[in-house]
Amino acid sequence: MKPQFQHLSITSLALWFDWFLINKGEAFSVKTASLQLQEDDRLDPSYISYASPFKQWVYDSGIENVQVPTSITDVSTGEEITRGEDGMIFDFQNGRVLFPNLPINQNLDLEATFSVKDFNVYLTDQTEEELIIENKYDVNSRFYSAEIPIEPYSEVIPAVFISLEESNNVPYAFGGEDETYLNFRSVVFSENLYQLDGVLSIFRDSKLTGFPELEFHDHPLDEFGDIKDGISEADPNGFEYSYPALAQSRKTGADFYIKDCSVSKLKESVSNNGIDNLFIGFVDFEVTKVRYPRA
Amino acid sequence: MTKNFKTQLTSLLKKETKQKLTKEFEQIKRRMVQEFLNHPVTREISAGSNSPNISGTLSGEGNLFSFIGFESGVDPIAPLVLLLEETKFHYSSSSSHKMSVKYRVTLPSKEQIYRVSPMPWAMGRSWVKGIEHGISGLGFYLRKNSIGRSGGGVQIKSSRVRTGKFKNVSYISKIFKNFERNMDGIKL
Repeated sequence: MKPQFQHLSITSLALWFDWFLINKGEAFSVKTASLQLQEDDRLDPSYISYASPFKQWVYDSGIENVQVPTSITDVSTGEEITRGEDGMIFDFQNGRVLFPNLPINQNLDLEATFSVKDFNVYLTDQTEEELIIENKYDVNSRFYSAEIPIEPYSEVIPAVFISLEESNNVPYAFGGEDETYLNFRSVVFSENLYQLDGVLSIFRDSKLTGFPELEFHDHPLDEFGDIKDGISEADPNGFEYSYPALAQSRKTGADFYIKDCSVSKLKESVSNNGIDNLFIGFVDFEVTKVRYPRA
Repeated sequence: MTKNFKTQLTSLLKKETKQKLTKEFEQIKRRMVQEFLNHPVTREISAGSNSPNISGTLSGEGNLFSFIGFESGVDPIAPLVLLLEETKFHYSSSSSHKMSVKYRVTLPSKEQIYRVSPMPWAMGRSWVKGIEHGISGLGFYLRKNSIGRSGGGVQIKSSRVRTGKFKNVSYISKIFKNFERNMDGIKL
């Protein structure tokens, strides 16, 4: 099946959300950490991974002061290994690098400098009660120094989980033009109240703004979690992704419009009975787009 | 003379019209409040933690009062009735030369409705909005008397007790639409 409007809307919101939070809140920190060999049964056996203690590195160069790594350091020789050299690729989602599974790559002493998101962002189809009550998360603290990598693919907090709750078309104008309403809900898990208030404040103020409709293939990461080659229209041969540049190129004048955005916190008394030592909030978006769904 | 007569006649007509419109408005408003009070969702929540799921929103399991998690003894409906009662009729007479009248009705906005209907566990969310757009939580709802915040349900922390899905229904939007249709239908 080719990508439908719903796919595009989710991709568009997720990429905008990620950029908006990091950019407006400067919600990232630059870290230097050693990368440790990590077993990963799900990884293509032709690769091995060296992981950092932090998941979800920032890959958007369009944000000021962000360090998007293009190379890592071989500590034993002091030399830089750039993307592609020795077959090395990045996995931004899992905060690690991948090397070809060769004996020569088994005992490397590596170090990387990268920006890590203050909040990981996940798309989910889980209900709120599943997210809040059932799941047990690893806390990938941004405040305490960690050295041991977290399991790949596992969802860690602080994080925001976004889901499309429901959508419907409402007649808008003659000629088959409808206004499509999309209700997105997100659950915010934070380590402290400061973080939570920050996220809620940022998104509350996004009401009455907009974001462009992106193409499905505009998602910047490939199957390994590295930036796609040539994702930037300005640099078709590079590995550089910039949301502002992409959004600018996709602007049509018929963007998604955030008609309403309400935020709230899970009441402390309830929260204390749910998940230990976490602060939980909700960001609910009502997004609309005027379009011709039957065209 | 003719002018004065016309004015007098118009004035009399307008007075009668105002009285008739005001009366019609009061009847329609009363009907709106009754429609709200008789709505299955309202009745179910008003009945508290022992009510059956007459609204059908929970596939017959449990009830909305407990599912939403209201504290035992609270009346979530009262603030909404008060707000609906604040619906006002404003008559504004036009120029005395014209045989037309203008009136304006101030209905509570959806935002006002949402503000007086906070979720008990997340004050920034509205349970009225949730009724129309969806509320999470059914999977963790266990019908058991005298346990939990509402006295009629308990949330299970670690294991899923019962799966299910909340079925959203048209609620305040439909009531407002009916009100507007009734106002439009006033014949003098």
